[in-house]
Amino acid sequence: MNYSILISPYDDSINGIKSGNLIIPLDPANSDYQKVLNDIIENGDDNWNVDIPESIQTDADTKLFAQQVEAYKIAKARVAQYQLSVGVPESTQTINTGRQEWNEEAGEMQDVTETIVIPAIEPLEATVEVTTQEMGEDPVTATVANPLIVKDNEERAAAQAVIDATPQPVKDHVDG
Amino acid sequence: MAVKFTKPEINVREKLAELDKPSGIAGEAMLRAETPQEQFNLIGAGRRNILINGGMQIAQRATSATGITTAGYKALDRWEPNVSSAGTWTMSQETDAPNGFGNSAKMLCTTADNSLATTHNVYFNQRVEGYNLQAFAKGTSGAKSLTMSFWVKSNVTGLYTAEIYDGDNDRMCGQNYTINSSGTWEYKSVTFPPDNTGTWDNDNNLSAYIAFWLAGGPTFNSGSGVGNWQSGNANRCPGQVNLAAVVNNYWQVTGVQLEVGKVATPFEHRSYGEELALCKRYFQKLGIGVSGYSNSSGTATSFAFRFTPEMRAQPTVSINNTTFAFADTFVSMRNASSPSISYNGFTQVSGSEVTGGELQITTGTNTTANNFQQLYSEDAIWFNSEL
Repeated sequence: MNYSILISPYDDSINGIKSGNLIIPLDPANSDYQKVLNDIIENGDDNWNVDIPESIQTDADTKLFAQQVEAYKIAKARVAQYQLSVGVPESTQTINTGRQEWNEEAGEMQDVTETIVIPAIEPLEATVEVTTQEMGEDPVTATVANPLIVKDNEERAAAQAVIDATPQPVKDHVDG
Repeated sequence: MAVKFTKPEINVREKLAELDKPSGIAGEAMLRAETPQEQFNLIGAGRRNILINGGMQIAQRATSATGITTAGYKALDRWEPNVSSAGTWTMSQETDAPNGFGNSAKMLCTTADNSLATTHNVYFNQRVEGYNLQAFAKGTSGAKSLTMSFWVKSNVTGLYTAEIYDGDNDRMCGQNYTINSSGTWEYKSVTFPPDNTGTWDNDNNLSAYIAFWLAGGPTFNSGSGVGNWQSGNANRCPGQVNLAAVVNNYWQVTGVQLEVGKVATPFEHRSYGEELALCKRYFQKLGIGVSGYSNSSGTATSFAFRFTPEMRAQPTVSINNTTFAFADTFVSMRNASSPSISYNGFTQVSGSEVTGGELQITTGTNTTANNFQQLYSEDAIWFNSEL
């Protein structure tokens, strides 16, 4: 696809994007315009016969920012999940029961709280035994890394890579 | 004077026995309903089908498209074959259909992919804007079930997946259905559970893909199963038949309905005119009968028009034919070879340019200057506002 600009014959404003025999309006709700923005995000101005107009570049930047915000949030949530190979130690949490009782010492009604114990989650076994058997041969048992842990580590690493690659303005936007 | 009245005898035992007469499950449900709204919902009254062109009647672009290897709208309105590196396909509108239907959509494999690589896939889908999905109350505590029903036929029996993909929140839920007999129309219905997470935006943008999977590589089928709303790709279509495996495999569908609730009601047959009007929110054509006026040098002609109905969003404009025919005041036929085109929305109209526009077609010196012109090619200009 090669893109160029269609200028209004009346007021020199940008009327649309020309691509082959298509005229694509600058309407964010138009799915072809979204494809143009995706192309700019992926390939910059490689497919443009002219300089990308500022308004279109701004739309592409805004879309990229939104995509990065979403990816950063998902990656953070993934990394925040507990590691299967480590597990989670037992912990306690104080919760408000929604009731109030009279406190003699303080001379006022106070919230009644309750402490609940959140049980530990044991780490998964680092290795598992896998038995395979070829036709006509004895079964063979091998010890391999626990595939659940392998997958967990891969996903965590991928999520961390997204976090590391996220531009600081995006992180600031999400993290406040 | 004494007047004597005679009354028919009443058999109390018989009257009491009538109370035990079975009214059927549906009848009992109606009797148990506490409000008219509940009864309204039970009998499926009113508009039910969220999908457009479920009966596969409307094909404004073409009735058949061959050599499909990518995604895009090719033939039947609102239905998009999405092919990604998984063979080559023909999509067509067929007259072969179950009783009560006049048409079906057919996907035919013309080049096979019998070993689907990671992300290779084929699905047949309709994209739905948020405005049309609010009845499902998705993402709220009152979220409702969704039920999809359809008639399907294929030469390949086995497990298939129907899916709803929430494009606003990147969540999806698939449900399996089984084609039991080769080459036989079978009626299916699947129900998707309510999803309390992630609302569908109340706007004209893409919110949901209603998809029938036909083939999916390991990225989409490596999970354990369908049936729950979730994120990620692994559970998109586990166990799905690879319809792309052999040339001439086919899959046909019609009577596709998506509605609120857990029960599939009979297909809502809308009139052809209604269905066409619904499709025109997403795709329209200009052709014979559109009038314009040529410029002072006879090199260009401007046409002004309004869309009926209003389009979903500002449309992409394209020339469908490379040769345009014009008629000067209905007398002299002229052709414009390789015309170029410009499109100016009605910027002076309040709101966006979804209501109409002005086309200026550069025609060379083929038209009489300063003259009334009429477009004389059918389906000459396409306006596409699909999701």
